[in-house]
Amino acid sequence: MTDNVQGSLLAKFPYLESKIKEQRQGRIFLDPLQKEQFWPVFDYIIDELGYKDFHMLVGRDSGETMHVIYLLTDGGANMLCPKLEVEKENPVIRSIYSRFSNCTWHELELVDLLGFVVEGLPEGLPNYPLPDGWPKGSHPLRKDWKVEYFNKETLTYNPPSDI
Amino acid sequence: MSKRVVIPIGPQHPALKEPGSFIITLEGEKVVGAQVEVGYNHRGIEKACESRTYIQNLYIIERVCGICSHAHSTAYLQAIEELAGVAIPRRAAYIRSIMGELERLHSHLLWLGVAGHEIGFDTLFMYAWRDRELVLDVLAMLGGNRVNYGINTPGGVRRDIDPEHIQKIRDMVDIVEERNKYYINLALGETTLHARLGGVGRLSHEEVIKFGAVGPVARAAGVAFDVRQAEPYAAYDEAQVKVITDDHADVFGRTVVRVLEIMESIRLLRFLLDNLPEGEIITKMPRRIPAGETVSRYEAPRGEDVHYVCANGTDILERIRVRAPTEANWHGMSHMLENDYLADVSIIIAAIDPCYSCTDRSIVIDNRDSGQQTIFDWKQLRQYSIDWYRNRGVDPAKLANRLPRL
Repeated sequence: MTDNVQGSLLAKFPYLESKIKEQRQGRIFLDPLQKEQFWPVFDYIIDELGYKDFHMLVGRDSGETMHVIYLLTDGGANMLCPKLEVEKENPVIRSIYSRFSNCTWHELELVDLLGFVVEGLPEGLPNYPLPDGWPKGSHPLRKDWKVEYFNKETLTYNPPSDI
Repeated sequence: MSKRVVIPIGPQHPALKEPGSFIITLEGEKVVGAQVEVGYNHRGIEKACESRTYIQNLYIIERVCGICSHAHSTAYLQAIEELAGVAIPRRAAYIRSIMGELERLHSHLLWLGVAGHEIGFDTLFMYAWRDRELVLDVLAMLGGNRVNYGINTPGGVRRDIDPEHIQKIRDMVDIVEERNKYYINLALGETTLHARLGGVGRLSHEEVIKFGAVGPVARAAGVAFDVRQAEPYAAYDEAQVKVITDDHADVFGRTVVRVLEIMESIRLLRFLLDNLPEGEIITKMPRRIPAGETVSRYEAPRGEDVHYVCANGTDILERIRVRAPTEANWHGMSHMLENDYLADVSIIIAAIDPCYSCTDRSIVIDNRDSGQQTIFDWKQLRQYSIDWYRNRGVDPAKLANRLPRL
């Protein structure tokens, strides 16, 4: 099964050469891709390879860049996880709401916890999961966010000025 | 069109057992719109895990949820054991499955009681929680705690199960099986329960797929998926699971699935106890978890629990992301509430079995010398806990200063 998946991906997208990692049977991870390369692969995985079940999104601060990992399964034991890479200075991604209506809270989490901008999310959604009044521009899952600079009484984030 | 009324329920409300906010739009008594807002319990656990060692994280992850504590710790450990290339001993795998099934038993009985309470059937609430105590006593015997058993450790389990334990589990299982037959008769043969729960909180097979619902919510709509069967972990390659499904696709169906899953857990427990292999319960782990990433899946009582773990080769992990089953089940909640009645809101919410911690309770300490019992209040319990650690050379005050806290 997974050999077929890898073969199909490579035949369709030669630029995936050496970017497919099989952690074990049923766990395939793709190396991070820029959006121009990512979205055709993402669509192909769902429409052609049958990985139609969306499980969750994982946002990751990888230093210079930011990653979003999409966990998709084929309805059984096989999981395929492509990664989207964006610049840390401009972490704008496209919502997958049109495909998976259960993505909203995952994407809201990317906004609150990592500072992503998600285009195409339905309007009027509450912020999640951080409370109202959380300091703007303060995203706890970024690696440079330190708990010791956060004042939970006043809900302010005060890093030293030399950082 | 009737006049519409908007009613906010929660985040603190007598009909809810946890902080969630539900903005319900009504036409008369009928729900025509519902918005779900959660996040009140966000504790920054994933961030906390990025500044602690793998062992410290085990104790944090176990506390993601009180009821599903074994589910979360097992899912987390499966991930790091896979990255480390370690296969745990078979006896340890069996013990993890035994704890998992005991956890499912107590969780489903807890849910049955809550469901009974929400529909005004408090006799069922008292019966189910009485029976749940038998399971909790066994869990406390095996792990030292009613929840957060601390049985898991990287490379296996911390405590073995001896023949005396096995006999006590068998005795408990016999009683719970007998009592669960009554609940099955109640669910399948008693018209009152069907009249109250049938057609309430519907989520069809197609909608389950669309909203990504998991566990008993999905299986009650005929989705025959159970991680224990689809991707066997621990001892489920040998203790093969019969996936329980139903086709009512409503709260009644979710009740049927859970009471039948109790019987399946009892069958699995007997198999696991009959075939518990001899041998070690722990194997050596490498000092460092090699860099890599993986996803671990576990069938918790409430549904599929997913843990993504990324290791960077140091003592501290790079990223962990936990998707508890309730998170998956919230997405279909607005749809389940719409077109039902205001009086059904609390049972529909309860029917996905949303997570909340049951650890905040008084504790009865048996004084083995005098035979006397003492009921601790909160202050005494806190002092007891501090003294317990101090007597073992750990000063909680110093520990609190050393670890950064959110």
